[in-house]
Amino acid sequence: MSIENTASQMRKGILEFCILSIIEQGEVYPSDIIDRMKEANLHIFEGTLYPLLTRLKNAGLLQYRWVESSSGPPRKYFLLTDAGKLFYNELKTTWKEIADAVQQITNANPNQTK
Amino acid sequence: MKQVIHINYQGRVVPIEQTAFDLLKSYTDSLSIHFGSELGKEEIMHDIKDRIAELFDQRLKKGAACITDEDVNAIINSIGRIEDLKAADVSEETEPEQKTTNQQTSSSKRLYRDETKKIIGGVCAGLANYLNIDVTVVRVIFAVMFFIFGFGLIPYLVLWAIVPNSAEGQIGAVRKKLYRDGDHKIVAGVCSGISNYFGMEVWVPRLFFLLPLLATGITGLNNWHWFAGFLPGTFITYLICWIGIPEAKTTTEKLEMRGEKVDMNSIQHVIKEEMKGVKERAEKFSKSAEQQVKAIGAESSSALSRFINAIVRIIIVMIKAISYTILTIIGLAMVLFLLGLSFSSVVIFPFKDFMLNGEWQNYFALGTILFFIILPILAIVVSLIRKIAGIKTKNKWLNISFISLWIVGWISLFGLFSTLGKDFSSVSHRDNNERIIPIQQPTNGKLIIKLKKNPIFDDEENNIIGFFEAMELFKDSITINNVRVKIVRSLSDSFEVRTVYSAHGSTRFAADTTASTIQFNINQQDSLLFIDRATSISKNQKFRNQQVVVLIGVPEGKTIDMQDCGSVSNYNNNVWEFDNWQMESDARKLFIMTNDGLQLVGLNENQKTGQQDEEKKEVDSLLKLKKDVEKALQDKLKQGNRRLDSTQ
Repeated sequence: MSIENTASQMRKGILEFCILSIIEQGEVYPSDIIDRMKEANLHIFEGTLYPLLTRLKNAGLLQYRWVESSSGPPRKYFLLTDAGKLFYNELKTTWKEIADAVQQITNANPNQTK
Repeated sequence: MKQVIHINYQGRVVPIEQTAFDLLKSYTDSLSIHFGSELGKEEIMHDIKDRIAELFDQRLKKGAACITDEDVNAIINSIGRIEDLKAADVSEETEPEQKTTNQQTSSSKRLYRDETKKIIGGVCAGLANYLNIDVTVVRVIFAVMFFIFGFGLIPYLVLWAIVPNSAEGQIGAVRKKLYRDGDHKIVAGVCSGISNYFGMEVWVPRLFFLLPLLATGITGLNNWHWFAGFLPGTFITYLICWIGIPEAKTTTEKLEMRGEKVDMNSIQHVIKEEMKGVKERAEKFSKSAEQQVKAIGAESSSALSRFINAIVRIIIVMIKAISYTILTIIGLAMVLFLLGLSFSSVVIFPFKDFMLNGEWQNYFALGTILFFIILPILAIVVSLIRKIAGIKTKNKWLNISFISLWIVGWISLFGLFSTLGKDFSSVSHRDNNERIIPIQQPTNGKLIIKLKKNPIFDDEENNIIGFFEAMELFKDSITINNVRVKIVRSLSDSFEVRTVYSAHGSTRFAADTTASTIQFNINQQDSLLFIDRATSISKNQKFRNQQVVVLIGVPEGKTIDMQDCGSVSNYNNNVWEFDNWQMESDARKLFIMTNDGLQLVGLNENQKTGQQDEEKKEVDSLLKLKKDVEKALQDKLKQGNRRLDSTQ
């Protein structure tokens, strides 16, 4: 098991959740998602993002809207569907549970456990 | 100058360089192959192309005249190369089966050697896979190139060495890596690491590294010169390995060191692939040759242009391979050159005491040898080892220290040569160093010149290194053959001998002083004139290109006999100049000074007279012996007679 493999598996696992979370906060344009992720130090290729968005859209979790752009042709803006919102909330609870569990396990000091 | 074309890209008119367009085209093509298995492939491709068009727009709005190669490359980097996308692909878990087949066939645009279809090294199979043509075609081309030009072999071998194995391209598969084994170390674990890598017993590399040391120990230090040559070699090799090879610290690294597979999944994966490969091979071999030929025919006739294209690409790959070969050879030549330099500098090293003056020059010399010559060898070898071992992490401090030390080497080199150059900058003045050697005129009008062997030459105990008698190094001095004999016309009626000493120095005064301390002797024995063959220089004096020129003036009508004078180094304006580098020279030259200058009378005449002399001597001694014996006999006879007389 190399550290790189494990780390990339971890990142992959939370990628969908993060993207859904960004979309949940409001309608976004894909390159904005990239920028937001970059700000959080989570790098993702556009070549990875687009297939993921399409997959989520095909799964009925996302929908998009054509928005007129000041420059050039209209752009695709993504937002969550109702199913997507449910899905996201479910993921959020799961994440909270996981995060708490991981927090508890990694911070556990054997001497303090009762 | 680049051609700019206008394209209609996703509903926008985009001015773009031809090369950039080609790049873009091949990139989007590869993307579309990559997404080949995706459900919403068309939509994804459309989205990505839209995005590219938008990025083009942004660039053009910023004032760019057209889209350049750099622009396209930047866009490709932000969207992600196929390799990046593969590594970061999220769909891996959902469609694992499709993924692997995908990778095996069309989307794999990296060149791998195909271990599953190999005959020798899998190079042809890998190329065929990469170029998307039948493997037999590639094999035929390689075979033809091998038999006709004979140089198909080199690209093949290079590709074999450089192109990674297909197994390495698969996720999870582990190839053996060279690490130092810290768990089984004696010094630094280099030997145990090497034994792990090559799958040999650990004592083998250890013996290799220790052999010169052992041999030196057994044969004793007296015979140091033979084995000692290897001692620094193995020592340096060990050091290089120590620096260049990382130690296996983590479990992953330790497993990689032994070439063991890291996890169960990868084992399963590899076995699966292996089985598939065996199956494919079996099928392949069961195919009749006829079918194969048909396949080639179909291939070439159905897509002739594609075939030509493929050949062009093969040629390009071969050219690349050949240039890699040339680069490797150049690199090796450089290493050898530097090794030669370092070796010669080691040989010259004992001479440094006779050359260098003052502390600084010693530091400069040491700095030059260590940092200018030996360091780059270390650097090249270390980088080679890292490359072979597949270490990609950049060691920043190592690079910085290499570069800074090399700069120190350059400074040392410059310092050494400038200070040494200064020490040699002035030449001694001739007038101050010319003197007349008084000689007795030879009775028979013939002067015989013999070169006298310096007695120190026989001092074998103190002799350290010799260069074919041109220069001999002893413990406290060096002896240099720097004596030249010139024959000129005498200004008077008699033979004249003059010597001119010369030397270099930082100032003319220093040069004169050095010249005046030259030890040089000329002795006379009747008509024989013995001239020192060489001068010796002590450590205090330093070598400053000391030279002695012996000028022998020969009056008109007189002859001069040059014995074991070596070769004539220069004959100019009727002045004969001899240097004396050949010790055991038979050449004897007899000259006579005429009105027109010095004339060569004969080469062997003197040799004959010499022989006659010896014969005469021999006869004389025999005659003397005969006389002695006769006298003794007569005495005995007389004695006998007397006794007879007395008894009677």
